Amino acid sequence: MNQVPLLIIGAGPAGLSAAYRAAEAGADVLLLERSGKAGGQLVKQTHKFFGSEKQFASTRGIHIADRLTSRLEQLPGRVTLLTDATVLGIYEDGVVTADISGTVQKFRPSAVIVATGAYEKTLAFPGNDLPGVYGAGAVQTLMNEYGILPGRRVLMVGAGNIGLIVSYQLMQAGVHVAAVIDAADRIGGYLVHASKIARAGVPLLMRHTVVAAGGSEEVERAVIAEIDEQWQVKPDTKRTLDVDLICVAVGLSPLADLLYQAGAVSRYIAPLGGHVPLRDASMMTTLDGVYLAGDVAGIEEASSAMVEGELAGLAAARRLGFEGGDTSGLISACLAELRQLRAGPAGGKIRTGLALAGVYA
Amino acid sequence: MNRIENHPILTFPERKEIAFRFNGTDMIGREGDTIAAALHASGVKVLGHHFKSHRPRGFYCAIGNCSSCLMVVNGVPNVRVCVERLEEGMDVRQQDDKGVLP
Amino acid sequence: MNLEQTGVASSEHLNGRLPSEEQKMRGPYAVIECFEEIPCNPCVMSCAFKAILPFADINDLPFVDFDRCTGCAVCARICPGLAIFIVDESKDGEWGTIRLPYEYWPLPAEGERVMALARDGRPLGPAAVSAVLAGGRDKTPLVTLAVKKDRLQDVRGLRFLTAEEAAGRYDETGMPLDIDTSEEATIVCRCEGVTLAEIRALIAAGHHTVDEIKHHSRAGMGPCQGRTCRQIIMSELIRAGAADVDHLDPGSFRPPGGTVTLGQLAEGGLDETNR
Repeated sequence: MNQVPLLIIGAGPAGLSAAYRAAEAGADVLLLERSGKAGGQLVKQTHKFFGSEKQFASTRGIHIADRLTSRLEQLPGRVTLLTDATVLGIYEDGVVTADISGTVQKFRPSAVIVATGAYEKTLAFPGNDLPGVYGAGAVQTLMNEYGILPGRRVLMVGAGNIGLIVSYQLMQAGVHVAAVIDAADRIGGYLVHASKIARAGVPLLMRHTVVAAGGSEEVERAVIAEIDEQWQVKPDTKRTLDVDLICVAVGLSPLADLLYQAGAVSRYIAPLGGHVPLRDASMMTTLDGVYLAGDVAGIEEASSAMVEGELAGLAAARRLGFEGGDTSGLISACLAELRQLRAGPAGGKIRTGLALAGVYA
Repeated sequence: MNRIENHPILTFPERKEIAFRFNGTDMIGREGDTIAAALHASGVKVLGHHFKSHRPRGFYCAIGNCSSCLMVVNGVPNVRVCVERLEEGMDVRQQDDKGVLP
Repeated sequence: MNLEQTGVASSEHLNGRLPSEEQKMRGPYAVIECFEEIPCNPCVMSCAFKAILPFADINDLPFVDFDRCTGCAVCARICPGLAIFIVDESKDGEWGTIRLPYEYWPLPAEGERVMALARDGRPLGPAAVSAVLAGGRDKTPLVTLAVKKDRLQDVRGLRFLTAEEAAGRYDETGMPLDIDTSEEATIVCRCEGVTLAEIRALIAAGHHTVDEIKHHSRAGMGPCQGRTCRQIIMSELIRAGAADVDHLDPGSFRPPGGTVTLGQLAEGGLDETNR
């Protein structure tokens, strides 16, 4: 059994930010990452981020990942980052088990921050299991991590930020985007992302859905159609697109399995992406000493995930007795920063969700 | 080959070639590839067939969440090839059943 | 269809986003096509001239103070939304430039012809790349296109020419290079096949009346009797300073004033006067 002061699960933008603030306050941190490198989904983002300077605005996601990782060195507290380390369970007695490069190990942390991110939602349509129907994350992974073309001609399903961004990334890799469709009546993602691909000639079709994927062993075509006010397919609007890739980008849901194992209370809050663990303003779940940050706390932008991570890191450090520096002042600053990021019309969804969860007044 | 040659933002440095076998055929991947990535780069999308429906299977999430990508690797079934790194000389086979213990 | 459904802004969206006619003449300026309140402020923070109105809130929309904007393009290279375009229509003549953010591979080369695209990706015709600014790992490259002034607010993207489009090559004014635009290929007198080169050579050699030129070149001696060439020859004389508008001599006119066959003349041309 390994005693650790603070265990952070997931080294994406939230986990890395949490580790930084906690270690800066003086806490020793063990940071476990499932994949082979830190950065989470940032390592696949070729676009410049929005937000303000504090959240690395105008820096490409791939470079934000580097900066978040490299700033962990030379802090008063020590951050041990282990990759290829998958946490398998959080138990009621506080024990955490993990597969560390093939060996299962047990830990007894004094505090835990869960920053496991999200999983991709998918769609039910005939042929949706054909090879070549890929989640948007998979497409990004293939292209931007491994440098592999996921297909030659793609139908993008979903015009939220992920659908728009991945469409743009596909075009940067030289893939033809036949269309971006969405069942909603308006574009869900930022309009500047939409304008970028519209001016390259990609049709954005609202109130459209994917009817079926065709192909014997893999995707060879996709049938799309318009939908009516009752979300039913208008029969005479079906058309077939010659594509070998159908990219599904219909949203994310918090990946909170570990917290539910340990008994954290959750609620279904649609604007936050589905079931989400309840928490207080300092990011602590209903489990004493167990915090969360980032998309696992409700689907939002990487900018707010980083601030939430800092907040959770500071709160966990304070709980462990590290009041060094100005922990309380920094916590107030994080709360103010989050409030600012969520203040505009684009933050309406998250405000509604957090109000339902009882953490946004 | 489905490798991206040029990109406006990203650079993909040359990586060492890794030889492996897919269903008994010699194939080449690159160091750092997952098995699924190496197969996709060589044009293989069908990783197996479902044991019940016998429908073709490919990966979906590519980050180890969905387990749609199970294959038999060096005789071991149910390996999630989307997160399993490619190694020299690996024997990779499509999986069409629930898998039997080696 | 509107912006929220297509991603394509319309001219109404540009209200309040463009400088006055007087401001346009001062030099290049930034057009910011950011129409949705999202938490993002790098443009404001990046402007050394404080030409983007300060935000009270990070979700505010950016507006340009065109009295301060120098068109330096720092904001255009930093905007995460690739929503800033630098327009310059201050030079005399009918041509201006637009600098477009471009993040695809490869970058076009200076001097290359590309297809200018509208906000909806519609091709607007070939345009010449007059400059490319790249470098800086997080900075967006900018590609400058030479565009006619009346199209500066329509062009917002570019793509490479297709093989078909590229087969016709163009010069920097949009002129296809496979078309002979020389004076030898410019016909003044269709009837006699007299070129502009010949006319100009005659004027340069000192033949400064329509009749002199006619006698030397046969321009105007054909069946149309100078109805196409005479005006051109006169304007060439004026252009060369060889004649004066107020004393222009159109040259001699003789019958027949239209085409007529010898047979017609032989049959019907007889009357008492020449019988």
